[in-house]
Amino acid sequence: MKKGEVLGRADLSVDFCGLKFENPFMLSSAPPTATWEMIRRAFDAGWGGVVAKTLGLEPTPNVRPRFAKLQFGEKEMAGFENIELITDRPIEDWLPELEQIKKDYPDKILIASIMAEMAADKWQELVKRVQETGVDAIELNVSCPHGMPERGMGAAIGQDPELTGKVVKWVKEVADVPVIAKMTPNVTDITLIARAAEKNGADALSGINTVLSFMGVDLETMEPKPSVNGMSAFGGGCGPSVKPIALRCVAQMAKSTKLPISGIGGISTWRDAVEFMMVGASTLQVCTAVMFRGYRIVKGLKSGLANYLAEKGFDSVKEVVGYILPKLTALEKLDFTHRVVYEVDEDKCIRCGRCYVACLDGGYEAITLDEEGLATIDEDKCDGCSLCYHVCPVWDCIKIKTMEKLSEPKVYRQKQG
Amino acid sequence: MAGRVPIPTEPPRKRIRNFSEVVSGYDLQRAIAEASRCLYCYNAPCQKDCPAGIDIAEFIDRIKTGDMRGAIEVIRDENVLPGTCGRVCPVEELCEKNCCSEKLNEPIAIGALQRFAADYEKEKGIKPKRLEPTGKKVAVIGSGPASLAAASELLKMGYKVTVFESRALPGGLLSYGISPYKLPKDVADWEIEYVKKMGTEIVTSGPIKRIGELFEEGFSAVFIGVGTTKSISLNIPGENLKGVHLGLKFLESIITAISGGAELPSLRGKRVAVIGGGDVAIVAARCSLRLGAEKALIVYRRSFEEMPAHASEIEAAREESVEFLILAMPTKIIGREHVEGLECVRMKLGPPDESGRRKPIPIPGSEFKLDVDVVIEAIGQKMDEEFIRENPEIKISKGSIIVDKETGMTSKPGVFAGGDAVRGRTVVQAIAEGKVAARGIDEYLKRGSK
Repeated sequence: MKKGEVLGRADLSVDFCGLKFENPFMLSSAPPTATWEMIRRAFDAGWGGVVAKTLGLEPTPNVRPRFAKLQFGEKEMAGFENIELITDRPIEDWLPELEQIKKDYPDKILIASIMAEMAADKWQELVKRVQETGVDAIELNVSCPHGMPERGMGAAIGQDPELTGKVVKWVKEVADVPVIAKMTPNVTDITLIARAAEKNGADALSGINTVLSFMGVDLETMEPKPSVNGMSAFGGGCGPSVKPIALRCVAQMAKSTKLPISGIGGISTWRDAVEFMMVGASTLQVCTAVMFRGYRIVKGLKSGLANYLAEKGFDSVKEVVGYILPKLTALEKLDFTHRVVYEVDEDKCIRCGRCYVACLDGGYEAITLDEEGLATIDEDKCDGCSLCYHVCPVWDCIKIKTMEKLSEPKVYRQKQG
Repeated sequence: MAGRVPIPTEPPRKRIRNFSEVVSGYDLQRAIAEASRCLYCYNAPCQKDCPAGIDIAEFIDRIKTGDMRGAIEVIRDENVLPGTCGRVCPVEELCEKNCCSEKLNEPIAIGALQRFAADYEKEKGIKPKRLEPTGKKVAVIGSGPASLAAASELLKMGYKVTVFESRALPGGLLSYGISPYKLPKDVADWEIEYVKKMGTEIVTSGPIKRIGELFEEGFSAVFIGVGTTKSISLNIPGENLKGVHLGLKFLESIITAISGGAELPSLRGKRVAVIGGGDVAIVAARCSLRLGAEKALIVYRRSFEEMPAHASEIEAAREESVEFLILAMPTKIIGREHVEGLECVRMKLGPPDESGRRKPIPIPGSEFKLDVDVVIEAIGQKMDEEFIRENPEIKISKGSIIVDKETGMTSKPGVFAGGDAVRGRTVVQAIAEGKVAARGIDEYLKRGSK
């Protein structure tokens, strides 16, 4: 087998339920993997693996337009949403293509994604037909939150531990390749679903699928977004805005099961990638960032990841997987006597007053401004909440300072008069 | 952090061929991008440095969210001429000077954003609510920026305001003194019309008013905003030759020709000397080029450091290849019938004079001649002497009306003044003084009625 990619001194190769990835970066089952030409170009660009667009026994036509954007500032994309369904191409067209791709790219990992309603024969038929093509693994789409649940598919299954368990069991009965269950975040407790998949024999988990969203209203036309001839439906939220939800879900999956995890949800840069790995993902799936900027971004993802690993003294990407999990605990177990305060670097302060008003109206009234607008934090009044640090527009201007421990957890009493 | 969104500006080669606006405004996307850079400072320095006291952080924040009506409302709360100031304010010396964003990269383009909001108002035709006067009558003499500011403030306070303008068009400087390449007529007209729609009565082409008469006519207070409408002449031999112009008259002839659709005077092939170092001199030189002059030379007796023109104006003139001759003072305009040349003497700088600037001293025997065909005198402006003669009770010092700084009241109780006739120098300063006087008038009348 071909050795994994080594960039600088860092080995980027990973093992994922027995599959050897030359690098952990994959394209998730989505528009960028909608045709075999696209998958080929993605492999040529350097992606380690691809999950092809979800296959059903029948093709599924789409509405248009089907995307909406959460805009930040002038044009920047803070989040994205789609009401696109699974592949609109027939499975008969797909199967020979998957076979050919796998033949042409034997070192790349090609995963098929499948979806059906709650019927053992349908799931098993899909598995059998798909694995004949030589794909490396099968991902179960029991998590699409829009459209498909109305037909008893996708998240309609993945929101229920029992149904999820059943599907995994049916699939495992006939599957010769690893089976990955893709989790939906649109549940009260994702660990119940993850454990049900594990218990019934899933080889790995992936997640998160998109977050059920409503992207907003076009205030000009007063129509919902995206507007399909004036009407819309809730869709799948993705992109940077869902990353915190995804990280939390991946951490929960990692803590509640022993399964390898493919992390998904708002990965745009290598920084996001490192974070997902640290909460337990050993492979990473990207979609929205590629839809906005193209397959080429994988070069930067790999470079940033490798350089980060080298800088931190890791030899292999495997070493960071799950790194942060021991540091995540129940809030009640955190140290309530640990005391920090913040201080302003006079030379860097630009006198904008943002920390002052934030602390005044949202903090502990601990900041004063002098005549020129220079901010000073009163150490005694500062509770160390960190709001000032976050509103300051200058890097490294407001700094944290560790103080002597409190004798006991702090309780404030309202001053009278 | 991202730097400033560039403000679209015509390149010099193109712009000196006509009188169209040199700077055009931001479009929606650019405006929102630039507004998004604003830090929304608390106690923002920009507001402190704005003579009109506009809540700049607030209006920019509204542009950021697309609330353009809200943005123009915030500006209009303090500034009656938003589109004019958005174009002519020397922002780099005022609001943008201490912008906190400069410490990160570049100051926010406050002027350009104000202009955007003002242009939005004009484009959408957002009209003011007509204010119904409830109080006493106040007369305003002159209809330039200070007068319009005083009038609108007084109107908001409930007074009935009548503006008396001796010229044919209202607006003072707006209609007669700002070059069209900086302030198009339709913008000036919109802003003046806005004040009228608020409920101000403007009487034009009237005789120069005697203040005593106004009180007899039932006005309870008077604001004087007559400006400095006359150019000061050099008083050197040869001033009556053909081809000698006074700066303000020269500018007025161009503005009225353009706004009246008349043919512009031509300076094709002429070599023009403009005497003076203020904004009017710069404008006269830039206009000369636009009228076809082969060369426009600014002759100034001190050095660049003492030049009263705004740095950005000097820079724009240089870009257009206006030439500068410093430390030279004209002594005589040469010619038989027409201007044929300008005799000057070289100067050196001595110790500071009473203006605080270094005093220019002629160097004996250094006389030299410039070959020029046109001479424009732009060494300064003064108040209309007829107004001073008609109103001897208003005390004047060094050509300016003396007022109390806090209230704007002149030596005569009930009579207030502001703008270039008092101090002025910029449109926004005139607006600030008009507002001070309006508050002074309000206090004066309330005190009087008790």
